Amino acid sequence: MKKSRYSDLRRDMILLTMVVSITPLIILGVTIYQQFARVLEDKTQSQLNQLVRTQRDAVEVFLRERAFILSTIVDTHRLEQVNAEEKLWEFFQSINRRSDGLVGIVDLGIIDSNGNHLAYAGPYNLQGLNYAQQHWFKQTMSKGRHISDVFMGFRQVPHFIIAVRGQTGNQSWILRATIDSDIFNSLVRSAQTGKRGDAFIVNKEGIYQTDPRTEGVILGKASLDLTRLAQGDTVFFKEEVAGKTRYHAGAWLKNNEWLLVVSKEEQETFSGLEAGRNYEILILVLGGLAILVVTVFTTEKLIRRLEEADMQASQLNAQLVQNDKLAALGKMAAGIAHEINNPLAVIGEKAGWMRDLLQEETFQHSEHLDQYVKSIDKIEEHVERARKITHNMLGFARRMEPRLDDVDVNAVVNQTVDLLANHARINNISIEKHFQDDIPVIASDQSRLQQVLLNLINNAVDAIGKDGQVTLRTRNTGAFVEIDIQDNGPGIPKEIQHRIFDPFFTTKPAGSGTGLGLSISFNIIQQLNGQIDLASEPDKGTTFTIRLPLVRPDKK
Amino acid sequence: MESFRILVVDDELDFTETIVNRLKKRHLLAEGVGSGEAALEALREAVFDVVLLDIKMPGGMDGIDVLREIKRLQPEAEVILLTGHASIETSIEGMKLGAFDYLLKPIRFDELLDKLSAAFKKKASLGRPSLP
Amino acid sequence: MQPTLLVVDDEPDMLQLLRRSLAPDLHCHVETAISGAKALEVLAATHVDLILADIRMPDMDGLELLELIKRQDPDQTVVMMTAYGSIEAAVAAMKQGACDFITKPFDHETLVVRLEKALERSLLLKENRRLQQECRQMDSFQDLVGGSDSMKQVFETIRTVAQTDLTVLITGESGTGKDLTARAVHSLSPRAKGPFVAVNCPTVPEHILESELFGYHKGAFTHAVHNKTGLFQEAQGGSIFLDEIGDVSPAIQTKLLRVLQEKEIKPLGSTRTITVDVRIIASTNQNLAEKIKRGEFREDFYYRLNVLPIRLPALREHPDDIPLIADHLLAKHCRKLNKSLRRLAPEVLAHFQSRPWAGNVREMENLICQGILFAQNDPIGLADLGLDPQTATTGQAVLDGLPQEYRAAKQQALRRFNEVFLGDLLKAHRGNVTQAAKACGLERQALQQVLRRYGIGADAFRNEQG
Repeated sequence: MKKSRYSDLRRDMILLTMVVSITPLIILGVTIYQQFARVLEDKTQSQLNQLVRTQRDAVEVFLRERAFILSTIVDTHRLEQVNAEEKLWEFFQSINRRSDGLVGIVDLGIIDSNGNHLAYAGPYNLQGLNYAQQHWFKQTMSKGRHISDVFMGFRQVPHFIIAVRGQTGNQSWILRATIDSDIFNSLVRSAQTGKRGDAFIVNKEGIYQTDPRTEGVILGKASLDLTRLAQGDTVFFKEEVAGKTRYHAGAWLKNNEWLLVVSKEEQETFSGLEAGRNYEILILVLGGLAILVVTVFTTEKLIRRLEEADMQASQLNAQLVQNDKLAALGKMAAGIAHEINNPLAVIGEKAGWMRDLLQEETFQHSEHLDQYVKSIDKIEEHVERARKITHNMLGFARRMEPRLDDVDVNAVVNQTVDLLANHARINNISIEKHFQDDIPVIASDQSRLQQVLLNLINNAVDAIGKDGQVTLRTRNTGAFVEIDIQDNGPGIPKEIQHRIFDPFFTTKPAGSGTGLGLSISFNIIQQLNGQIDLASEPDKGTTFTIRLPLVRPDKK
Repeated sequence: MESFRILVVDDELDFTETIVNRLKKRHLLAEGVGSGEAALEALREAVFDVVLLDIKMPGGMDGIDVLREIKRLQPEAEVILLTGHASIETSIEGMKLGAFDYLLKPIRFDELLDKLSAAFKKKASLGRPSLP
Repeated sequence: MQPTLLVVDDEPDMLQLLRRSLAPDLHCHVETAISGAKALEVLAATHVDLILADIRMPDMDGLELLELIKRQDPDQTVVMMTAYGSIEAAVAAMKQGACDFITKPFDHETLVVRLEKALERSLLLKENRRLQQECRQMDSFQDLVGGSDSMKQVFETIRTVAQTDLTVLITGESGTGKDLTARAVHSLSPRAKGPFVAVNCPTVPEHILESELFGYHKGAFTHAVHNKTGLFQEAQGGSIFLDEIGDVSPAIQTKLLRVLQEKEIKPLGSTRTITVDVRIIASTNQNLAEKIKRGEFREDFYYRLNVLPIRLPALREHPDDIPLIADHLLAKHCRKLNKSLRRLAPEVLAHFQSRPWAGNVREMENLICQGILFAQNDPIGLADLGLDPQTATTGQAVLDGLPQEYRAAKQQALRRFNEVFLGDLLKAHRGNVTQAAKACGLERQALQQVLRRYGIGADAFRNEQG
C-alpha cells in the first residue's frame, strides 16, 4: 500500500516540477520572440522609410540637375545660337565629356513652338518629326519645364525626357533631352538591398517607370495595390505575394507623379529572427529535457529517503513499543516479586522460629525430632529457592552485577548437557556435540551463562518432544565465542519469531512454563555484552546462537 | 550485646513477631511495632540502639521519611533497612540518610545476626553518649 | 579558585568524555587517572575536592581504592559509579564511606546534579574544618569572657605577651581561668602549632614530678626499666604550662631555675644535658611575695618566672562581667549537655551579682551545670541551683531596711554582709578556716579575727550538710 502512495507522490512531484519550470520558459520564449519580431518589423520599417526617402531625394536631385543643365543652356543662349546642328553637337559632347558619361543625357533636340524638330544631337534619327500633339510638348510650352513619364515614343525604346522652354525675343522654343534609362535605372536600383530586395519607380497609375528586379517589367503594370498608395510623403505597407511577405516603402517625387518604392522580403529581413527562434526552441527543448532528467533524479532520491525514514520510524516505533512493554512488565514483575517476598519472609522466619524452639530441652527427646528438623530444613531450602527466583526476576527490573569468572565455554556447555542428559535420553533425543578445541577461557559469568544454556537446551528438547536430535556447536570467531543450540523440531513460524524473546510469551500450553525463560536469557546475555540470534525454518528446526565477546580474564 | 535494645518495624506483623521472638530467644532485647508512626512513638519514649526498618510500608509514612525522623530523634541509633523489593536508588538514598546496612526479604537470619553484631561493634567503638 | 575533581576509570574514552563534559558544567578543574594506583599518586601530589571513581577496574577496583582513600583522609568526598548496579554494591560502597553511588548509563543532567551536591558537601566540610580550626584558635579567648575594663586589659596583656617567647607568670584566685589564659597565650604565640603540655604541679608527688618533667634513663632508679622522655622534651617547639608552681619544692625550684637560665634539662640518670626549646608559662594562686618572705620560695626563681606577669581578677572584682559570663557558660553547657538553651531567673542573676564567688568562674560553671541538669523548666530558678531562696536573696537583703544615719547604716550593712559572706564561705569549706582563708585571699589570722568580731562560729559549719 505504501508503494502506491510513493508512486503517486513521485508522479505528482515530477509533473508539478516540470509544469512549473517549463511553462514560464515557454511563455518567456514566446514573449521574447514576439517582442523581437515586432522590434525587428519596426526597425525594418524605419530603415526602409529612411532608405526610400534618401533614394527619392537622390532621384529628385538627379532630375533637377539635368533640368538645371538644360535651363542654363536655354537661358544663356539665343535660338540662333543653338539652332545649328553643329552647335547642338558641341553642347552635347561637352556635356558628356565633362560628366564621364554619367550625366545620362542620350540626346538633345531643339523644337520650335510649332513642334517641329529643328535640330538634333544624338544617336537616333529624329529629323523632321513633329511633336505638337505630344503631351510633353504641350506641357513644356505651357509650364516652361517638363519631366515626362517613361514611354516608348518614336524610337521604340523606353525613355523619358526633360524639356525646358526658352524665349528668344517673342519666339519660344524648347530644348529637349532624353535621359538614359539605364543610368536612371541603376540609380534607382542602387537602393536595392539584399538578394531579394527591390527598388523601382511607378507612376500614379501604377506603371513601372524603371525595371524592377523581382517581378514586372518597365512600363508594365505593377501588382501593387494602388489604394494603399496614399498621398503623403512616404508610405509603408506589407503585402503577401506568393506566400511570402514583402515590405514596401514608397516616397513620392516629381510632384507626386512618381512613387519610388523600395521593398524587402520578410524572410531576408527576418532570417536572423528565424535563426534566433530555432535556437531558442533548441534551448527550450534541451532545457526541458535537462529539467526532466534532474527532476526525475531528485524525486527518486527524495522518495527513497522518505521510504528509508519511514522504515526507520516504524522500526523505532516497534522498538519503543517493545521497550514500553518490557518496562511495564518489568514493573509488574517487580510488584509481584515484592508481594511474594513478604509472605516468603514470614514463612522463612516461622520455620526458623520452629527450629529455634526445637532446640529446647522439651523437644530434644521427642519421637519425630529428626523429621521435624528435616521438614524445617526443606521449608527453608525452598524458601531460599523461591528467594532466588524472585530476586532473579527483580534483576529483570534492575540490573544485577554479573561476576567475572574465568569461563571455559566448552566445559560449561558440557556440564549443562550432563544435567539434561537423562531427560533427553528418556525421550529418545540424541545430543550431538561439535566443539572447537581451542576456545580460550573468557571473562564472563559462569552461573548466568549456565542458566541461559539450561534454558535454551531445555527449550530445544521440549520443542522436539520425542525422537530427534539436539546439536551443540562452539566456535571461536576471533572477536567472539559462539555457541549454537540446534534442534530438528518443528521450527518457529516467521510471524512469531520477533516475539520469541518477549516476556510472558510462550508457545507452550497454559500452565506449563512462565514464558519468562527466553526473555531472561536474552537479558542475561545482553548484560554479558553478547547477543542471541535466532534462525528457524518451519519443519526443519531452530538454531539459537549465543555470541559472547572474547574477553580474556584480567590478571588479578 | 545483650544490653542493647532492638526495635523491629514492619507492617507484616507475623514477620515482626517472629523476628522479635527469635531475637529474644537469643537473649537480645527486642520489641516490635507495625508502622512508621508507632516506631517514632517508641523512639520518643525510649532509647534504642538498633532499628530494623521495613522500607516499603503501605499507607502512612514512607519508609524513607521514617528513617529521616528516626535519625532526627535518635541520631545514635543504627538503622538496618529491610525490604521485599528494592531499587538501587532507594538503597543509596537510605545509606545517604545514615542507614547502617540493608537486608532483602526473605532474609537469612544469620545475615541479620551478623549485621546486628557489626552495628553493636560500631556503637561500642564510638562509645555511648556520656551523661554529665 | 576552582575546585578540583578527580575522575578514575580504566576506560580512556570514558575519562575523556567525563573530563570534557564535567569541567564546564561544574566549573571545576578535572584531573584524570586510569587506575587506582594512578589515582593515589594524584592524591599524594594535589589536593582534590571530589573524586568520581568507577567500581569495575582491573588491578585495584573502586571499593579497594575507596578504602585506601578513606584511610588517608576520612573526610575526602568520593562518588562511585558502575555499569552493574546492585544493592549489595551500593550498600557496600556507602558503608565504606562513599558519598553517593551512580549507576551507568546515566544522563548527563543527573550526573551533574549529583556531583554538584557532592562537591557542595566537600566544600562545606572544608569550610567547616577551616572554621573549626579558627574557632579553636579563637576558643582560647572565647572562654575567657569579659567586657569590663579589667578583663579587656587582661586580653590586651595576653595578646602582647603571647607574641614574645618570654616566660609568663599568671596569678589569680582559683577558678579565675589561669588554665584558659595559659592556653590562650600558647595559641596566640608563634608556637601555636607546637605542643602544649600542661603540668598540674601540686597533684604530682614530688619525687615523681622531677622524673616527669625531665625524663629519665633506664636504670636511673628502681622501676626505671626504659628511657622516658620528660615533659619538657615533649613540649619541644611548643609551650609548657606549670600550673600552681607556687607549691613545688625548693629542689624542683632549683632545677627549674636552671632550665629557665640555661634552657637545658638533664634527665635523671643521664650525664648529658639536652637543650629544650620550650616557652614556659606558670601560674599560681598563692601570694609568692609572702612565700619568699617565709623562705618557702626562691627569690631568684621568682624573678626568673615573673618576667611577664598576667593577673586575673577575681570574679567579684569585675561584677559587670557576671551576666556575660553566666550567659556564655549557659550556652556552652546547654550545648554540651544536649539541652535546649535556658535562661536564668532574675533572682538567680541578682544572687549571682552579690555572691562572693570564692571559687570564681569555676564555681559559677558548676552551679550553672547543676541548674541546667536539674531544672525542669525554663528559666532556671534558685531552687534548681540548690540555693535556699531565703539566704540567697540576702544579698539584696543586706541593703534592705537600713537606718538613715550613715554610720549606723554602715555598721549594719557590714554586719549583714559579713554574716552572709563569711557564712557562705565557711559553708563552702565546711568550716575549715584555713581553706576558707586561702579561698578568699585573707590570711588565716585575719579571717579568724573577723569571725570573732562578728560572732560567727566556724564550728557551726563543720557539722552542716552543705
